[in-house]
Amino acid sequence: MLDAIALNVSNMSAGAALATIGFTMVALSSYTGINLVYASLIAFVFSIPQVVVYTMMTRRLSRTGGDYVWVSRVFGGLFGSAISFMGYTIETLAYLALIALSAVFAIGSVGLFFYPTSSSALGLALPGNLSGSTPYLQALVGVIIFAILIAVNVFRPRFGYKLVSVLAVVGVIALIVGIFVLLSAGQSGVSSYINSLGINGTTYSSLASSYTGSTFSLSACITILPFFAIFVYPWINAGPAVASEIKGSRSIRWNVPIASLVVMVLVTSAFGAMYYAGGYQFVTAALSNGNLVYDYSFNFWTLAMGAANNQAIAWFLGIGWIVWTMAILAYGIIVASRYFFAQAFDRFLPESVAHISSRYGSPTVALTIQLIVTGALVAIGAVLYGGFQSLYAAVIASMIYFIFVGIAGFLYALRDEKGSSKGILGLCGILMALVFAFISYQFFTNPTVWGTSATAFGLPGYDFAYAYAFGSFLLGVVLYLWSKSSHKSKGIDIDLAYKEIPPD
Amino acid sequence: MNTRIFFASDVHGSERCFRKFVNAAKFYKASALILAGDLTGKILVPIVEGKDGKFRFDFHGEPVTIGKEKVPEYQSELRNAGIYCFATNEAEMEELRADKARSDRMFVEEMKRCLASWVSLAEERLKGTDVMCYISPGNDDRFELDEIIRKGDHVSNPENQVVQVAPKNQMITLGYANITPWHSPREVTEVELKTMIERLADGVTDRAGSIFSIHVPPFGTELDKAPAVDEQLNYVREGMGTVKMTHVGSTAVREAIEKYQPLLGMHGHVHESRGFVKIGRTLCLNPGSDYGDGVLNGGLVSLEDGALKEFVLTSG
Repeated sequence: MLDAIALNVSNMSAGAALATIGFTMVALSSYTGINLVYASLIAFVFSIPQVVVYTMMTRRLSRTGGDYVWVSRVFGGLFGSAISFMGYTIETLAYLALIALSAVFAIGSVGLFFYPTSSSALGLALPGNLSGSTPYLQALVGVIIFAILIAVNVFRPRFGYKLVSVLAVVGVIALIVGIFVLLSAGQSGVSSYINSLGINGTTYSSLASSYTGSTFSLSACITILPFFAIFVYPWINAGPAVASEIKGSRSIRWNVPIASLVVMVLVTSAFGAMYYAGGYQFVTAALSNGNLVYDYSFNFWTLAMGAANNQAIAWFLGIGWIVWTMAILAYGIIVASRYFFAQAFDRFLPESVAHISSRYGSPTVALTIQLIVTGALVAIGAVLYGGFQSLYAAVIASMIYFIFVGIAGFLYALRDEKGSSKGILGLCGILMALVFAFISYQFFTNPTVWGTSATAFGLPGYDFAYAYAFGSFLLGVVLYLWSKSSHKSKGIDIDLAYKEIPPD
Repeated sequence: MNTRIFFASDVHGSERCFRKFVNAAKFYKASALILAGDLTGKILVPIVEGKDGKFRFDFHGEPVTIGKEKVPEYQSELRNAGIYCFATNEAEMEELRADKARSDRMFVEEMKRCLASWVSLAEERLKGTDVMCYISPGNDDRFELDEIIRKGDHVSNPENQVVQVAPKNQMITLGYANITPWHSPREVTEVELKTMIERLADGVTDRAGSIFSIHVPPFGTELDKAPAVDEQLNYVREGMGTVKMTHVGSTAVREAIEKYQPLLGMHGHVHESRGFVKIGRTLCLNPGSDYGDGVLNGGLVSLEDGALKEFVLTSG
């Protein structure tokens, strides 16, 4: 059971979320009343219907491919394949590009922490559209990081999982250490660190006193739900995706809820530790201060590194932060290959996508596709649209996909369930669909926060991301129809691969 | 001439899977059905009536308590998951615990009864059609079962034979496996397996269109990766979140495929390794198995004039 939980914890990018919250706070038109502890708890509550749907569906259809299988079997081959292709297979590549760029940001930020005058570190840490940044270098470093991890999976495929394990364990330990560092450093540690930065006119006291709003506003917390949706709570599909390999019914039943709880505790505790040490007013003002967030990479990790007042602990935390982003990438590469495989086995994607190199024993075609698409997105994101935030908008693809996962749960309940299960799964399916419809609405109505308005070739960043997302749906439709036509001429109707044979 | 073959394996006693298998002929418009090995279930579960009138049993490792009226419903659920069951009481359970030979006999009788009912069902549902249904044992199936799959109008046991499965395609069938940690009834050494395969393959008159229905998949492919187990048969963990996967297929099967280069290799045995690979010109399929969920995984193959036109792995 621990293994299945660990899989999901790796998939929920708590470490990256704690590093990037400041970029969102700066971009918001109002940050008054945003309490990240409550916001995290609210986001967790909003995710409960999804947790119920994934838990119940995994128990009923514990199959490799998880939600892709449920959706494609409920909605049929054409729509099910195309929406999964958009919402998971292709969206994952954009998400990996986002994380690769956040890894570059982590490297630059850690470098900047230890070498404050380093222009190279600043160039990596700053958003690509700000003066002093080095977007081409960011793209290069991002692509190199991703290429190295792809190479590990090509040439040493068995090492891929071990790599995830080591990286994730180090990342989680670093996060817990960071929490304890903040709790022990307290206000004196935080103020001492902030004041030591020597920012003209900015001290701990000036920041803390600059915030005069309330410490909690429900509506303000709800505006930030998409942030938790991008990084944390919906990403519980890793365990279900390998459900057929999870041994034991207790693991199947509990891996999703426990992983969600663990991640909620980690994320919420980390924000709580920031508030405990620095005070709500200071943390809110600092996370919304462009100078601190951009030029000093202010976030959970750097605050803990500074408050530690100990070089060794600071190095450990800095490396832990970088390592966490690498763990997400290492894990994402493996999971994306699984989805490529599942769709190739269903003959939706070409047979060659499932090709395994006889020399290395690795899925070279699937990994090459990941390298090309993700590498291109890293370059476009860094050079043309100013960094990882530009790729937030591509996550809309998954939010829409999750609407249909919820509807699939509802329809499955209507068709196949009896008694209280019918009511619980049906209700949670509908609630899950409504939650993600609302989050999708938030994405669309605030595209400059959940995306970027930076323009290249006359196309704002969010429109580029939307085009990528919806283009992938159309590509999925075209691929399916092409595959169906091609197979039909050879005597096979691939629609039948998605339908259940009546037993009676 | 276009011929469609539907192939599945490892239903392990699942009533629901077998019923789907028989109906696959009509559903996929297949002219031949092939169920290649591991037909029988792995456990027999007693549903024990307690002194309080409640019935108790274990389902997937969890205790379940139900009233008498729910017993038929749960019996059906257990059978769909491939679990044999019988209603009993505490006194009889005491006797069975003391008499292992008797409980073993009950298990075998239940396997035979179930398989006999499947053969009858297939004959009944395929009556009036031209569909042939080939059902053969796998390494987990006891030898006593072979006699149950008698040659009928629509059902036959192709084990250890060369049969004409399509106008221009001959099929050899072998349910034996290389040695496993589970000590199942039909296990032989790689050398013995090689001899058995070669004897069958030498009987094929048209190798270009031949189909090798060999239960165990070829070694060192994506079709033979199973969870590794230690000496106590516990899973070996590898990294966070994963069980170590290891190749458990047969080197003899791989050598035979490389040597004879049949048109198609149809395999099962390793439930976790659903997929397809090419070994030279040979397409090898393993549809995998999700029998415990009542889901029938299969492979649908389209043949034309003896050549492979297309295929798809199904899951329905």
